[in-house]
Amino acid sequence: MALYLPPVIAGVIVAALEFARYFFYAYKSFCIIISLVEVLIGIMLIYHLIEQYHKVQHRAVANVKHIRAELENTNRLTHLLLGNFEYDKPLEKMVKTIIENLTKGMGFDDAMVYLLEGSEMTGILRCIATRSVFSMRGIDRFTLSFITEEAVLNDALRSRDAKIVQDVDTSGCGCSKEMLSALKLKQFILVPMHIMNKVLGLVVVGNTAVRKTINHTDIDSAKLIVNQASVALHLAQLYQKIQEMTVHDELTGVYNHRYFKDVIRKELDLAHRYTQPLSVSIIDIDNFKHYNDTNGHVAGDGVLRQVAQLLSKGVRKTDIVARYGGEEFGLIFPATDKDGALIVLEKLRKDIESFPFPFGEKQPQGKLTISLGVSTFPVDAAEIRDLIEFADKGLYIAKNNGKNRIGIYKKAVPEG
Amino acid sequence: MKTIVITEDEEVLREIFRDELTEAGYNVVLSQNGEECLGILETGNVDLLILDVKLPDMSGLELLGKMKEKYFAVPVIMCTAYDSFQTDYKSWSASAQVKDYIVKPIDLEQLRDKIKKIVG
Repeated sequence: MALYLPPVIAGVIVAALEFARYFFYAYKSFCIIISLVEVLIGIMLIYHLIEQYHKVQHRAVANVKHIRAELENTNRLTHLLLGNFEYDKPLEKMVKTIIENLTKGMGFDDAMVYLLEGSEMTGILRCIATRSVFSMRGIDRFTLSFITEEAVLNDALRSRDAKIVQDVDTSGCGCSKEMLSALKLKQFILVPMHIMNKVLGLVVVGNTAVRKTINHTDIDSAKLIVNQASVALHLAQLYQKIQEMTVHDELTGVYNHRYFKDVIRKELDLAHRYTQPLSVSIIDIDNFKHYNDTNGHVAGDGVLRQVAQLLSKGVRKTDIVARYGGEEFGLIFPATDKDGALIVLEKLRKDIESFPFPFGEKQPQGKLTISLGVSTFPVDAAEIRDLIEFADKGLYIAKNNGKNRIGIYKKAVPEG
Repeated sequence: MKTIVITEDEEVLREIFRDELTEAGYNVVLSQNGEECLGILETGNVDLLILDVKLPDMSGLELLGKMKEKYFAVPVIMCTAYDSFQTDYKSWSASAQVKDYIVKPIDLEQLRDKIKKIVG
């Protein structure tokens, strides 16, 4: 560093020396000294150039290192969000991860994750998480709606791009007072979560005081995190949809036949292990064909939905209601003996009998009713197939005895 | 109506607690430091205290120590940050007064369940 000489100053000195030599060209020894000084300056310049070159190289290496670190960070985040995707609680895990990355990872005070409910520009943005609270039902005080005053918000969502508010106190920041008092942030970035040009939600990340000028690096990092989150969120929503489709009956909303079989298998295993009873019931809507023929299939579908709802409402919390077939429903009563199940079933029968179904009066019995069959582990059967068969036989007995009742099938005790 | 006292220094969080628990049908009293909390306890009639471990004037654990003599009957739910949860947990685990704990970020649904279990 002792040899450091800026090139401009070196040039000026050399020019001055050349000028001096022009005047004193008669003094040979003086000219030689001047030449030597010039050579020295030349060496210094070369040295300077080499140093500059090294500096540039260092900077380039540092840049590469930085990019590599960023990439590693991204990889880690991708893995956290997508590689360890927890299918039973996908949203919770994802949301916690991104908030931690935005606050602790990027040095911001707080971050909020919003999910879009309803359609774009008319729906609401429901906040499901901040740095300190989390609620899938939504945290009311942070809820945002699309009103014209929220220029920045609308802008961000429409352009699908991040928007910065450097200081909310400067005029024309594009946010309403309501929004600002809810968020309690003084500077923030709005980053929309979107996938395939569809807005899924919004992430707000910011500081409770104006701490710095939010720059492009901040936006890039925030976008990186939020984009990953959007993919994870999209996956989570798809997963939820598929889960619902495979477990629930589309028309009635109760569980489907497949799920009924799964649960009965699981519950029967538990009943075996803990030597507890387990009751199963098959329920059939009486004269449903007549109802359909008289009132049409749309009305018929309505009845199916209504019956499903009444059954779901009438059972206890741990009981399972499923659509077993066309107009048949299957019920599972874990840890319940026959007497217990009969109490619930009788209540269900009355619930349906007294419900004012449309066109119920046109039914052969003057009202819409159900017939029920029941079987219990271990007294009736030990296998799934036999349990269902028993309940089914009970149902036929109920039908044959005049409908609107519970039928219990009893094994014929061999005489002798 | 059951009265729940919140002692939490973070304003936004305090307000969220208030909104959430008022909606759940509790009478909510807010305090932002240990001194205020002790003042409220003085008035009696407190069914549950939700106490943050980190407070500006004294730590939640110090406050627990002070409560031991006079307000030992008030059940407490401790509130702690995820990072310090391990060490915090050890320090209050000996106290019979602490019935449960919540870790930030707080799951509001879980919080409601926990409160219901303690005060009904």
